[in-house]
Amino acid sequence: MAAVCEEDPSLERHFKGHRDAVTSVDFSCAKKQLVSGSMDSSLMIWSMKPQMRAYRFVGHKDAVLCVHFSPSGHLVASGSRDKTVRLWIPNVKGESTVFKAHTGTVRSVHFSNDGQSLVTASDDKTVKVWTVHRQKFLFSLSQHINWVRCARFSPDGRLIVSSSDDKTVKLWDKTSRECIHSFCEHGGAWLAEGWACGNKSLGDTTLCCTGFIVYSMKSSVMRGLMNGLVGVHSSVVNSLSFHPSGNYLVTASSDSTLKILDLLEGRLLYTLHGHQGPATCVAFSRDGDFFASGGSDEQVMVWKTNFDADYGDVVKPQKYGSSVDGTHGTGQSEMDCGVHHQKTKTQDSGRTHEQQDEETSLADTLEHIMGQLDVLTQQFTVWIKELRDQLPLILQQALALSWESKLWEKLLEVERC
Amino acid sequence: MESRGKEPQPPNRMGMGDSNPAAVPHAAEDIQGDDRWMSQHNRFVLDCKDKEPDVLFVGDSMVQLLQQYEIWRELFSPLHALNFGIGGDTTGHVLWRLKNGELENIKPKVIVVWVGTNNHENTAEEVAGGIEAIVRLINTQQPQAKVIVLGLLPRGEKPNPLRQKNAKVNHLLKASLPKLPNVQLLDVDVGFVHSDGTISYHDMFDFLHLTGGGYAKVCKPLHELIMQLLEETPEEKRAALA
Repeated sequence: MAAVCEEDPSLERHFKGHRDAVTSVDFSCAKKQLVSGSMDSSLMIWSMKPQMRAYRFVGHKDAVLCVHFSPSGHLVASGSRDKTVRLWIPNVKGESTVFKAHTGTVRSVHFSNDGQSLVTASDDKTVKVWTVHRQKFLFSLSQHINWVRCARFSPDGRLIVSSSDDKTVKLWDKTSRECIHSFCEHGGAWLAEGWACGNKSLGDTTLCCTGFIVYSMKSSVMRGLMNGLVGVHSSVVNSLSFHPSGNYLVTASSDSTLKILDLLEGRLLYTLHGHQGPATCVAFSRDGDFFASGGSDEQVMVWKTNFDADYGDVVKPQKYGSSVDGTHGTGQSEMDCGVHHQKTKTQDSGRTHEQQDEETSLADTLEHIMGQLDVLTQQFTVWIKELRDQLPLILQQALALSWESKLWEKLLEVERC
Repeated sequence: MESRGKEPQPPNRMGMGDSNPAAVPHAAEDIQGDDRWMSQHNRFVLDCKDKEPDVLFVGDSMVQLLQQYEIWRELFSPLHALNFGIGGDTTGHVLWRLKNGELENIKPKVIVVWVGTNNHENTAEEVAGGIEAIVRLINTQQPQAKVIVLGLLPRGEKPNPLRQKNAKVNHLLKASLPKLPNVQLLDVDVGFVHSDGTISYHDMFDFLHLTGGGYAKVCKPLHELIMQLLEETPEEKRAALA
């Protein structure tokens, strides 16, 4: 009955199941599935369809640090601290092939857009390229002198970009296997704490984002814009993802927020709260309609982007006739008392038509607020029901935990002091 | 006086009985009123959750100040090193910190211990015992880690009893540390005391703490030893054979 504002990103789904911090997330191209990797050594495949079960893939012997769906969606690659890479078939059987890719922790795995190649990056300071079919080793790129945190194919597959704790970002030609460019992090503080690597070509400008600073490979104009985004988070940026349009960037930070940045105008658009503790990873779906985030709180959240197709165009929120459908997704999500998805929208005098349109009549605003209240009420109802259902299980688990050895140890220590 | 750092001790600041007071873990009291010691400890514990250090430095202000100089960035940051130094700490403080979270969730390959010059209430034997207790604790909690104990540096502009005490501690450690597994004593006194018995403020600006130049001299042998130990780790050996 009432209006739902469709402009702002909204929380769609909220997945729980990992037993330790979530390290990485990725959508399949069809967007039907979401994969997440965790410090608990497992991967989980979540379905966006409410009726479908989630799968847990066990096999890695240590923390899973990176996951990536193949472009076809038929395979999932994962890299782990156990130095291996696994290729999984994301179905109920969860079969996988494993290969020892590196002599150190595998930090990053990434399929090329044609699905034929896989690039991996590791603490052993190398970047390696493999065929997907039969996982044949093709070649190794060994110019980094410290852990390589991330390596990505360019969208056309001709370039590889890698970022490392040696404070450089290197651009490699896949055919010649040469390092064609090496960017040194310039001046200032050591950014070792957080490196993320995203790669997107905007015409002839390739953007690569690491830590706080965004590099522009070719255009110095872009570089100026990007420098304005430094310091946007109050803590380390752990992960980022480019919207397919190339106009937006979503970042996940240890300050527990996700931020959506406008790359065309070089400023902050949204700050999303929801994770309790550091947000460790974030990824847009291939079409940009959704993005998923994972955190140290073991949760995976899926958000609806709600951007209109053309940035800058007038967006008239649907005031009439938009019904429960808008909230259908949230109604089905597993809401948790801890999650309050607050969105703060930054006010900017330079803002465009959208702001003007927002200042509509008082009646419209009231309708809008009523709509939000409806959404909230629905969410609360779901939450209360879930809590009631889970209460016996929670009590049971608490009782079981009280017998865990860790707790005994604590008790002993307290006694000692 | 025997030190029995291995067995759990009740907090015993009076040093009663025959326990070594320098080997008794105890937190620092917040005398000044801003609780900075605990704040620093808590930050270190949080670091243990997030970071993956290959090298860990723990100790007093000698360790703490090292991170403020460029040399830390040049030599040690690339090794994924963490600095858990707190100014004024004694062996007892370091023991308490290591037992209360600063060794959890991490698996460093090398741990550097530099503490003892602030143990003013203890004899040289007790201080050595306290350092041994720290090493034994690390051996239990981090059996894979190789420990480097740095010898205490001389202090004060002119010869004084503390110089002799620190030298005695080093002497005792030289005898006792070889008996413990996985630990080495590294003497980093590269000649701070000149022929006339004085220490220059160019090396120690307050005749205790090192200047940048002083640290450069100390860190050279330290860095070399750390690199050596890092290259010796079993994983690398296995990879070399594979």
